Amino acid sequence: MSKLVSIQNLSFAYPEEPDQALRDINLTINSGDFLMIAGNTGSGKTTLLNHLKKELTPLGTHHGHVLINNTPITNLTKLQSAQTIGYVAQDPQTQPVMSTVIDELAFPLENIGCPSDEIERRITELTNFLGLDQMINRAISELSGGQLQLVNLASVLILRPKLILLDEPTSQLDPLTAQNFLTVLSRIRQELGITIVLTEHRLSTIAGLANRMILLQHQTISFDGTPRDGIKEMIKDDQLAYFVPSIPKLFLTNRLTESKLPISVADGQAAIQNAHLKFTKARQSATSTTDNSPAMLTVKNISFTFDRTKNVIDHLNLTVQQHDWLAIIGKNGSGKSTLLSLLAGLRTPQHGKVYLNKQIVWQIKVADRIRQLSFLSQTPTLQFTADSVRHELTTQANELNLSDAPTRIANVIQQCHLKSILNQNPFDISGGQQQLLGLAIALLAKPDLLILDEATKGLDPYTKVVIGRLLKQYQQAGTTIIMASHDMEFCAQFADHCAFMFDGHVNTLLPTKSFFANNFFFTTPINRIVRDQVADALLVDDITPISEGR
Amino acid sequence: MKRVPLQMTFFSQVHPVASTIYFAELMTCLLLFNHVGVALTEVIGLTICGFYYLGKKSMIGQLKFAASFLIMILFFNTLLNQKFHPILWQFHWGFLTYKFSYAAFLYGLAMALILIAMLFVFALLNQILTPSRLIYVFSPIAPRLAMLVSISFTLVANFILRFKKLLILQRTRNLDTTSGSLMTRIKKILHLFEIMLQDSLSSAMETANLMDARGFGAAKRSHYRSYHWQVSDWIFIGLSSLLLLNMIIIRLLKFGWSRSVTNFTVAFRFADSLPIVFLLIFFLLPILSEGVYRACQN
Repeated sequence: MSKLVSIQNLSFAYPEEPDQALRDINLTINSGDFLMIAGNTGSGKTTLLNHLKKELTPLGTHHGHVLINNTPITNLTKLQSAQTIGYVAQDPQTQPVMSTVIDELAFPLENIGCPSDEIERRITELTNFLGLDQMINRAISELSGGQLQLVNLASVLILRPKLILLDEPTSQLDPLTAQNFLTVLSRIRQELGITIVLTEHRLSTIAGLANRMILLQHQTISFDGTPRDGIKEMIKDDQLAYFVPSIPKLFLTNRLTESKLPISVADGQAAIQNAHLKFTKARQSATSTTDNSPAMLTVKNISFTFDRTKNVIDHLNLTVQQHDWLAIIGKNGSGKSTLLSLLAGLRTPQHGKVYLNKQIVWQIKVADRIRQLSFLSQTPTLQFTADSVRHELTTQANELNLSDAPTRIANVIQQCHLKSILNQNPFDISGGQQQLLGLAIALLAKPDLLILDEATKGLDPYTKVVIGRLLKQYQQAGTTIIMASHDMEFCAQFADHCAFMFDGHVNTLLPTKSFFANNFFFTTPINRIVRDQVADALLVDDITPISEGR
Repeated sequence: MKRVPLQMTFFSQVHPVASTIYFAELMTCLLLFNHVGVALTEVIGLTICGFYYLGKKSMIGQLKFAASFLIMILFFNTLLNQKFHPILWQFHWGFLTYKFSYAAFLYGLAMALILIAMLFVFALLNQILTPSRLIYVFSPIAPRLAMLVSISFTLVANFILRFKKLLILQRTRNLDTTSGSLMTRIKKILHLFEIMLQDSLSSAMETANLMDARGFGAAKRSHYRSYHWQVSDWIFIGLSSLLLLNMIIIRLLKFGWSRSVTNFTVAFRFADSLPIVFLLIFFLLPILSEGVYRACQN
């Protein structure tokens, strides 16, 4: 394989930042590599990725060289850069500029002055290759998150680049959609030989597809090798151990000897069969204690439509007991967010009622409602109102008329790790930090009911666990939690009850263990590989090996 | 009867340059006459076109908006034109007197109808001249500007959606625009715009970078969509231009136009019949062409 990218002694610091964001990076990427960049939040993954694309190189102090095909990246013309390196961003909504799929695909080719017949040929080829041919005339605004991210990828791929960079491309997608997207990426690499470099927190699928992984720790590369070996390195670090997918974690933490560390479900099942491994339940299932509690929220036969042609919520009934933690699971576009906004009283259904402590939720005065109920949306920036993180918290404390405001503010700052960004503008901090700020604002009220829409979106696995434990503390102190999530393992670890959102209503509302144990697709990887032995095992800690090998 | 999909209609298949000329002519027409009867004809003609091309749902929504718009313009026109006669009704409050005159009413009505017609033209234009067609028309003159205008169509639509979402979500911060005095509400809405601006700026910067990353500005832009000028385009634009020429002559003969509010004494004059007939044909030309187009199909 020939050398495509060469990074030599690269160091970088953002303006007015005393610490370096990247330190002494040396890396060679070969043509055809599928390289995964792993590391903690703030380890410099995105900064490194952006250094591989001239137009996205951040402002600051640079040392060292980045060469593409032996040409310094700064010497590439705009045209060469567009035709050599493609970039797909984290948020699918930020890239599209045209109104229909076909116009979005034509946009980059028109930019480089491609003749009309050549554009048509490339669109025909690519849409058939990616299965987008049936949606070329659809409006961009009508596409789901997964479809949109695929269009974004296609709009980059159509320039036939040698290298595609992706910054956490699946972080906003549900697990099945994310898996489909990553499978397409793998096909692109295998069938077209295009080099792929991506950053990703969700290692479970990627580790099986990538041929190479680098690990960024303390702003420099601490490991460069195969994903399997990288995972073995990560488990040694206190924080990075949380990033390790559950199947390899099961084998590594229990020291189950395997020459080739299993990563995928199929590998895991094969390893268990080959080594005749037996597992037993490691801990008692946590039984829900909320079943006899009085109802906190009662939903009676609500229906809601945006355009009066189709009910997004259709005659939905739901009761959530006090101190419960209910996770609502469903695909992108299934109506979860709409339901949560109805439960929070932010929208009014056309039919039915939602009662919070026996009061109709949308009739409670807004000032009173925010003291009883907190809501964190999928887009926390739209809930921000001030010009600094500190000001956001003080503003909300004032609106809540908190008697112990300074103490409460200090608590949430510490709980949500906001100390280092207190003076920054909320719109300038990273997506994960925005999520944490949104959560801190929601927790200030110590609400009776906390409604969270994709609360773990954009968070790294370590921060997720920290937040999960924090929410558990609030729940134990009396808060009821309703959460919509794509994150199966987070739901399995922390929720008391889970339910599906499908076809406008909530179904299969069951205690978490029973819910996942009876699911086939929407369940955890551990459940998939050991369900024959321990039916309700969901997480690594749920099982313990009783025999090791033949 | 099932509506023909927009992309299957003759009007949306007309060459983009021809439809741009037609829309320019439509807007010129709206500025030629100011009598109530003529303005009403314009609104009726455009409403029929709207029902045909935009659909019942969209047009009913626009008509509802137009009704409230009409009342508002009528109110301000009668308020600002106090010196005209005959006075139909007056109201005294302290030293202030509000006179509701027939002339001011008719003038206000005509102005409101013309403005509503203009809004209907833009709604139709938005559907017929899609962003890619707009780029095709204006690229030879100002390629970057054409591209940015077209992108702004998408961005404005996204901005509106996002603003609606912001209104809802800011209630979680006790910022409720549906309660409080007028002054408080205005302050809240201004604050919301401030937030929206910050949010839009940060996402627009990212979008701009991603446009750059896909080669925007790297070379002279080409066009994917190629349109061919047909005989039907000549006929369509020839007819519409002929009708416009006729209406300019009618206007020069002072039909359908009054210079002063004082002259607004009747809602309909017989002399207005001439511009009304030509206007109706001109405004309904796309629908009439649809009929000819279908008749000529194999």
